[in-house]
Amino acid sequence: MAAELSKTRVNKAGERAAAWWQDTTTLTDEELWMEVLVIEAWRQQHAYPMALCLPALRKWVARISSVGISPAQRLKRMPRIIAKLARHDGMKLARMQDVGGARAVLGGPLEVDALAARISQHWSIIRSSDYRDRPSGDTGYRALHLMVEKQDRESGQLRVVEIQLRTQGQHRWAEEIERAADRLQFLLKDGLGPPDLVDYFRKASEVIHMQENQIAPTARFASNYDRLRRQVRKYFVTTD
Amino acid sequence: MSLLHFLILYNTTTQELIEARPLGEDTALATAAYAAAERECRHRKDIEIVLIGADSLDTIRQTHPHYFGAPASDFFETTVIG
Repeated sequence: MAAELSKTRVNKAGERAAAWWQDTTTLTDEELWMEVLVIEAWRQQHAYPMALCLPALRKWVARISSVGISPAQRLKRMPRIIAKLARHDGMKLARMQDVGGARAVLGGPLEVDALAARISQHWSIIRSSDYRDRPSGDTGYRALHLMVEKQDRESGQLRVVEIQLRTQGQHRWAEEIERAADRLQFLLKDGLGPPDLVDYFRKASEVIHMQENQIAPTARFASNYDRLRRQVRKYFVTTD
Repeated sequence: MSLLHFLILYNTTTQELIEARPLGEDTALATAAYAAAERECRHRKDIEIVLIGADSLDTIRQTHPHYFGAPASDFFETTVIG
């Protein structure tokens, strides 16, 4: 199936799986199975392009980074692919940018700049999402995402790889929201959960951003943040 | 340095790593194993499965630490102003 996969068919599979996820359509097990197979095949075509990026990223990170964390890559989970399509009305699976992703964690903003410059010197960046100064969505997620295209070995087609560049502080924040989401069973990564907790993560992201960029908070912001911390402490206190 | 694939199986309810299964260097085999594991666990909402590749499992412990049942984070206590 891999070599003859058309984007039209991929998009149709994404639409049908997302509609099933939202309970707006009924699919038999067999029908759903067919759509999932198409999505799997599409995802598979991102594995080799992603693997092509890693050796160079590893070399550049080793030269630039002060924290000694080698990059990693991941293929997006099937439930996250379908849930994302369901959440973003009209999103086409063939245009989803983060099916294949690589992650580099760097010591600070200047190292992110340096790696981004190195990537753009060597590869053509087809698109970027800069969440460093303005976080993504409603959550506080910050990073720089650079999208590059690499050729899939099986299909011969170009596939997008999203490269996430994070500072250590941005990485700590992103990992903490994952932990809290699992612990408290809220979809915090999607901005869903108790409003004070969602607000706390948004403001904690801003605190980290200010610290990493030597920006002094205003007295009003500091006071609001301290008050919010006291309010949400209950979510972070462990009982064991 | 090679690219090693690991299939991470993580229990989101208990927040515990179930398994970090080494799948070697073959990308096609690793992605096939990923899809098979997802299908097998499709009814288990509490199990998160993800295929991650890096130069070592130690790297993945750093890039994706929340899967590894790290001790309670000090994030809340240390993300303060002043």
